Amino acid sequence: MPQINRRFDPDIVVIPMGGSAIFPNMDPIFHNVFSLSKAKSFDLGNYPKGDMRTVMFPNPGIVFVNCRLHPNMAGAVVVAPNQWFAKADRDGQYWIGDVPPGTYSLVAWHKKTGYIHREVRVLDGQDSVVDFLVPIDSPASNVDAGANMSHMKMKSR
Amino acid sequence: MRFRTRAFLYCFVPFALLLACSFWMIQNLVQSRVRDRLRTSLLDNNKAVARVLSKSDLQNSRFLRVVGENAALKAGVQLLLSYPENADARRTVEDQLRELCAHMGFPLLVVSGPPLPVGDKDVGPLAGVYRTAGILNPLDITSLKLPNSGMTLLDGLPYRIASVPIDQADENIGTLSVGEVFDFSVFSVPTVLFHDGHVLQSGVQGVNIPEMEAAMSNCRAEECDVQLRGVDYIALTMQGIALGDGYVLRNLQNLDAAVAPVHQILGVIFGSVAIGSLLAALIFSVASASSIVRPIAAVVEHLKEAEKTGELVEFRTEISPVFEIQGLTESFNRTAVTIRESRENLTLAYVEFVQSLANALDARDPYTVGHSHRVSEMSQVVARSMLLPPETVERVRVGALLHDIGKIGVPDRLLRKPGRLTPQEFAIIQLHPEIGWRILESVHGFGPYLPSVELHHENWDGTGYPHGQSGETTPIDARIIHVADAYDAMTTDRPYRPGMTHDAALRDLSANAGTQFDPSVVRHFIKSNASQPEAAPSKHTLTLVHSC
Repeated sequence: MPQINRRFDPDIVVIPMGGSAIFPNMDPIFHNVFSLSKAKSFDLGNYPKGDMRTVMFPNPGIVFVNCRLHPNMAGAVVVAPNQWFAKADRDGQYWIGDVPPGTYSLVAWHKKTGYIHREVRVLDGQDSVVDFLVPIDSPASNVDAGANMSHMKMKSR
Repeated sequence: MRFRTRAFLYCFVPFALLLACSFWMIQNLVQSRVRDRLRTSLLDNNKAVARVLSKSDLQNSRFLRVVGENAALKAGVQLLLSYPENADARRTVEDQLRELCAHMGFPLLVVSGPPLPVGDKDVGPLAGVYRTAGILNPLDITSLKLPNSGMTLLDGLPYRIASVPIDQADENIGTLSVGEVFDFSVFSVPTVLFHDGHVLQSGVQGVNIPEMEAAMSNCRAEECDVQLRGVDYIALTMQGIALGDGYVLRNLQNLDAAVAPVHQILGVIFGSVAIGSLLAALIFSVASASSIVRPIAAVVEHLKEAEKTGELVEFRTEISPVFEIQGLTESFNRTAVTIRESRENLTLAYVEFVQSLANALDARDPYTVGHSHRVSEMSQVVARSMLLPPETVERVRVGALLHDIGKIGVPDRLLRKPGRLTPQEFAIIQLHPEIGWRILESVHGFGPYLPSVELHHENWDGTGYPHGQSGETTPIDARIIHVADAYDAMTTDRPYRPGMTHDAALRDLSANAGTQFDPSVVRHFIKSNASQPEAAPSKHTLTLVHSC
C-alpha cells in the first residue's frame, strides 16, 4: 500500500486473514502510517522516502490506516476471513472463483456505505450472479474505490 | 524731507506696522490652532488604528491557538525535532504549512523549536513558507531571525508577526508564527515605517525613500515638523501598536494643505481689512499732516512774501484753530508791528532830521522861512484832492518837506541876494535839485522821495531843469510840488519885490497851466483851495510843525 503524492495508492487493499501488507513511502517527504482499528492497531512511526514497513494482519475486519503528518491521507486494509474474496475492478465487476457448491453469506464492503449482506447459492459448474446496489452519489467519486458498481458477479466453478 | 512728508510718515508708518504685526500675530495664532487640531485628529486616528489592530491581533491569536492544536502540525514539529537536519523532514513540515497557508490565507508561516535550548543547542526556526507572486515558497531559515511578535523584514517587505506555542502533552515543543504584510491601507493618513532610522515603507505619495530619510533624519522626538519637497508636514509617532525593537511608525499630515484654506480666508479678510485700514490711515494721515502743515506753510509763505517785499505785514485773519499756530501768528504779528513801528520811527527820525535841516535852510533867508512847510501842506491838499492813494499823499507830503534840501549846497549870498540873479548865479541855483538828490540817494528809506527832490523844477512842456523832461514822465509828486512851490514863491515877499496876491498868483498858475505846470494839478490846486491848508490840517503835520 504505497504512499504516493500524499495519498495511499491504492487506498484499499484486500488481503486474507494472517496476510501482510507493505507500506512503502514513495514521496520525497516523511509519512507515517498508523491505525486505531480493532482488527489491527499499530503505528509505524515517521519514515522517509524509500523506506517501507510491513504489517501482518491476524484478524479479519476493516483496518483503517492514516498518516499522522497528513490528516487527509486515509486508506483501508480489508482483511478477509478466508480465501474467497475479490476486489471489484474499475467497472465494478468482480469474480470469485473456486467456490465449492453450497449456500454462502456474501458480504460486500464499500467505504461509503459499509457492509451489504447477501445470501448466495453456488451450484456446481454454474456461475452465480449476485448484484449489489451501492447507493453512492457520484460514480466518478467511487472509481478509485473499485466498488461502485451496481452489479457484482460471483461465480463458482 | 518735507515737513508734510515727515508728518505723514510719523502718522502712517506706525499704523501700518501695527497692522502688519497684528496680522502676523493672528496668522501665527490661527496656524498654531490649526496645527493643534491637526495633531489632535492624528492622535485620535492613531488611537482608532491601534484599537483596530489590537482587535485584529486578538482575533488572530484566538485563531492561532486553534491552529496550534493541529495534531498533524504537532507531529510535524516532533518529526523536525527528531530529524533536525533532514531535508525530507523539513519538506514534510513545509508541505503542512503550505496547506495551512492555503486554508488560513496567511502569507507567512514559520514553525520554530522550543524557546529553551534543546540539549545545548538553540533550535530557532525549523521550517517556513511564504507567499511570493502568489506561490507559497519554502523559506530559507538558516539566517532567519523571527520575533514572536512585532515587525520583521522579509525580502524588503515588512511583516507583522504573531505567534502561538505548540504544546504536546503539556510540554512546549515549538512555536507557530504567522506573518501578515503590514497593511498601510488601515491608515487614513500617510504613514511611514522606519527601522533604525531607515524608511522601510512610505505611504507619502510623490516623495522617494532617500528624500524621506533625509527629511526625517532629525526627527527624534515623538512629534516633529518636517519639510518634504517644500511642503510642511507634522509627523507623529504612532503609539499603542507593538512593532518590536527599532521599528517606528510615523503618521504625516500635510500642514500646508490643512492651513491653506484658512490662509486663503485669512488672506481675503486681511487683504480687505489692510486695504481699508491703510486707505483710511492714508487719508487720515494726509489730512492730519495737512492740518498741521497748511497753517505753517501759510506762515512760511507769508514770511517769504515779507522777505520779498521787505514789508512785515500782520496776519489779518486767523489761519488755524490750533493754539500753537495762533500763538505763532500772534507772536509774528507783534514782531511785525514792533519792527514796522521801529522802522517808521527811524524813517520819521530821518525825516525830522532832514526837515530840521530844511527849516534851517529856509531860515537862512528871512524871506523863505516856512517855505518847505507851506509847500508840503499845499501839496498834501492837492494830492488828496486828486484822490491819490493815502501812501502817495504821505509820500508827496514828505517829499515836499525835503524838496529844497539841495539848497544846502547853494551859497547864502545867492540865496539872500537882493536882486535878480545873473545867469551864472541862476545856473548855480538850478543845481539844487541834483544836489538834493545826491544828499538823499545814499540814505536808506529816502528812495521814494528822490523824484520829488530831483524833479520838482521840471516843466509840463519840457522846458524845466535839470533834465527837461515833460508831461507825465515827471512823477505826480514832483508835478504837484512844482505848482505849490511856484505859488509860495510868488506869494512870498522878496527884497526886490512884494509878494503877489493870492488871486494874481492863481491867475499866473492858470496862465502857465499846460506849459510850465500840469493843468490837472493847477486845476486841483485852485479847486481845493490848497493855498489855505489850515482849513484842513492833518494831525500828523501839526505834530510835526509843533516838533519843529
